Amino acid sequence: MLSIKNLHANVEDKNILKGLNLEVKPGEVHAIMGPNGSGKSTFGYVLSGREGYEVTEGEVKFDGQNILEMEADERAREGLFLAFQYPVEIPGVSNMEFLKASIDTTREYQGKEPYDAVTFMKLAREKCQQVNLDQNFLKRGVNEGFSGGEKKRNEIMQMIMLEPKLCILDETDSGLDIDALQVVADGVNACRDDNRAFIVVTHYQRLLDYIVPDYVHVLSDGKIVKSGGKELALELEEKGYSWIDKL
Amino acid sequence: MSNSIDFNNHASLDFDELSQVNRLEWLSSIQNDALGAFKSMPLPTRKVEHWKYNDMSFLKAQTFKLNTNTYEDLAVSSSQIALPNSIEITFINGVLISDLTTRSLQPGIAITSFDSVSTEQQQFIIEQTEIDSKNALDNLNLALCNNGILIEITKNIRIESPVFIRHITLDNGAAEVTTNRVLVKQQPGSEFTLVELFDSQIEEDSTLTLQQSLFSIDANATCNHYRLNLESERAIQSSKVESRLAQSATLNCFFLGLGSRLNRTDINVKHQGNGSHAELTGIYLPANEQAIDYHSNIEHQVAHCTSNEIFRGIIADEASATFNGKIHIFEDAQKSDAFLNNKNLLLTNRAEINTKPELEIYADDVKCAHGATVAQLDEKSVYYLQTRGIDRQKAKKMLSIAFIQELLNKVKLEELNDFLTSLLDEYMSHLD
Ligand SMILES: Nc1ncnc2c1ncn2[C@@H]1O[C@H](COP(=O)(O)OP(=O)(O)OP(=O)(O)O)[C@@H](O)[C@H]1O
Ligand SMILES: [Mg+2]
Repeated sequence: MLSIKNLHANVEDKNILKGLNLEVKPGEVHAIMGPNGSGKSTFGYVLSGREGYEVTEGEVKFDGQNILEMEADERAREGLFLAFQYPVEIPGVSNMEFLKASIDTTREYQGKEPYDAVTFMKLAREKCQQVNLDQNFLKRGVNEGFSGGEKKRNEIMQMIMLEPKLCILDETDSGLDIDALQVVADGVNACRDDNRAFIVVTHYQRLLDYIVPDYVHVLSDGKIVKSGGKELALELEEKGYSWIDKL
Repeated sequence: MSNSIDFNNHASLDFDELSQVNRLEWLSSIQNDALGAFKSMPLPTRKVEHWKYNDMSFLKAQTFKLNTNTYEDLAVSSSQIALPNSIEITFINGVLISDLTTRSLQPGIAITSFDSVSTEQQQFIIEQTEIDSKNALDNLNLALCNNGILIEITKNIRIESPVFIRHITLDNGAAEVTTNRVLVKQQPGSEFTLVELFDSQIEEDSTLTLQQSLFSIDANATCNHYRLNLESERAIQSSKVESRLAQSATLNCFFLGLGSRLNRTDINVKHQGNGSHAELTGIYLPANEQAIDYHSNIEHQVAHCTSNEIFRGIIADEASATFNGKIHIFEDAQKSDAFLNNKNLLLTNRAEINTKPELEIYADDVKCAHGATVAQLDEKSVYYLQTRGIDRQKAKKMLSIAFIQELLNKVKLEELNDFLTSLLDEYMSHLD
C-alpha cells in the first residue's frame, strides 16, 4: 500500500529526513517512536503534501501511484489521512460545514454515493457519540476553543467519517486522559480491517497496549534506525533511546 | 450654455453656464452657497489630506456631462434583490423615475420628491443641509442636485415594509456626473428600515455618482439602514451618509462595497442626544484594480452615548482599500462608550490596504477601544482543510467567508441575508 524508498526532505533548506525506508501493507499497524525533533511530524507532513516540505531524493508510492506529484487535497481524496499532533483552529468555519465539504468532495472523488443531508447529519451525530464528543461540537468553529483532548477526538471522528485507506496518527495519544485514550483506541480498532493500514506515531508504549502494532520502528535523526515487533516498544520504554544510539 | 463640468477649471464653474433641468427656486440659496464652497476649495487630489488615498486624477482627465436625461419612457429592469413587501423607489443616473404621488402607503410614512415638498418640508431640508468643510465633491452634489426625496416617519409608528431605493446608473453616451440626495426624518419613537442599492449597469462610460443620504433620527427612534454598492468596474462614486441621533435613538447600519473603479463613502454619525446608540457594520471586497474607501467619523457630542463599529475587508488581486475610522469624543461627552475594529485580509502581495483608526478624545470619563489588523490567509488553515480533501480554492473560499460571516449575520432582513449569502458565495468562488 505504501512504499517509501530513501526519502530525503528539507524544511526551509534544513535537511530533516535523511534516507527513510518503510513498507506498509494493507491491514498492518506500524508504530513509529523516536526522540523529540527526530522528524516524526515532518514525515507525516511530507506524506500528506504540506507546502514548504520539499522532497529532495527518494520515492513514495501509495497504492502504486507516485503521490509526491499530488497536492495535499488530492492525496487526501486518494485515501491518505493525517491526524495532526496539533490540530488547527479555524474560527468561523463550523465543524459541520467543514465535515460536509470534506466528506462530499472525498466521496465524489472516490465514486461513492453522496450522503443526503439527513443521512449525513445522522452519521455525524453518531460518530460524535462514538468518540464521546457532544453534538454541540458540530456547530462550533473547527477546533475553536476545543481542549487538547477534544481536538484529538475530533481528528479521530473525521478519520472515521472519511474511511481512509491509510491513517497516520501523529501523537494522537498525547494530552489524552485515560478514558479518552480508551475512546481513541476503540475508534481506531473499530476501523481496523484487512484493507486499511495505520502508522501510529507515539512516545508512549501505553497506547500500543490498546492499539497493538504489527511493527515498531525507531526514527532517529531522519532515518529509521531500528525496526522490530511490538516487544521493541517495551524494550525502548525500559532502556530509552540512548540504548539505540549505542547499537 | 453647456452642460458639462470641466474640473480643470473648477473655480470658474457657474450656474448660468449650465443647462440644468428643474432648478428649484427654494433650494437656490443653498445651492449658491454650496457652489461657492466647492469653487473655493482645492479639488480632491492625493495632496489633500481628506483624499490622500484616492486616485482622483480621473477628474481632470475628461469633462463630465451633467445628466439632463429624465428617463421618462424607460422600462426599468427588475432588481437583483427581491424584497417582497418593500416600498420600491428607483433613481436612474440620479433622477427619480418612480411616481411617488400615486402610491398608497401605510399611514405613518410619507415620501415626497424635492419638486413637490411643502414650505415646511423645504424648511426642514434647508435646515439639514450643511456645507462640508472637507469634502468638495459633497458640496458639488449640494450645488447641483435637484433630484432628491424626503422620507418622513410619523411619531411612534413602526413601518413594517422596508423602503428599497435602487440607485441605478446607465450609460448615457459620455462621462457623466449624477447627483442625488435622500433625506430621512424620523419622528420620536418611530422605527423604519431603508435599503439602498447602488446598481451600476454602465459598461462604456464612466459615471461619477455624487450622492448624499441624511438621517435625522429623533428621540427613541430606530433606523435600520443597509447600503449596498454592487458596482460595475467603471463606476466612480463619492458619497456621504450622515446620521444625527437624538436622545436614546438607535442607528443600525450595514455597508457592503463590491466592485467600483472607486467608491468613496464618508460615513458621519453624530450623537446629539444622551443615550443614543450607533451600530455600524461594513464589508468591503475590492478585486482586480478596484478601490474602495470608507471614511467614518463618529462624533460623541453629548454624554452617555455608545457606538460599535466593525468593518472588515478582503482585498484581492491588485485592488486597494482604505478604512479610516475616527472617533471624536467631545468635551461634554462623559461616559461615552466607543468601540471600533477593522480587520483586513489581503489575498495577494499586490493588494493594498490603508487602515487608520483615529481617536480624538476631549472628555476624561470614557471607554474607548479601537484596533486594526492586516493579515493574509492562514496557510496552516488552508493546509488543514486540504488534508481533509478540500481543494485549495475551496479552502480559501471557506476561510474568506468565515472572515466576514459574523458581520453578515447582522443583516436581519431575511431576504437580504439570503441574497447576500449567495452573492458572496458566488463572488468568493471566483477569487484566486
Ligand atoms: N519550519 C522549520 N524550519 C526549521 N526547522 C524545522 C521547521 N519545522 C521543523 N523543523 C525542525 O525539524 C526537526 C523535526 O521536527 P518534527 O516536528 O518532525 O519532530 P518530531 O519528531 O515530530 O518531534 P516531537 O516528538 O517533539 O513531536 C526539528 O528539529 C524541528 O526543529
Ligand atoms: Mg511531532
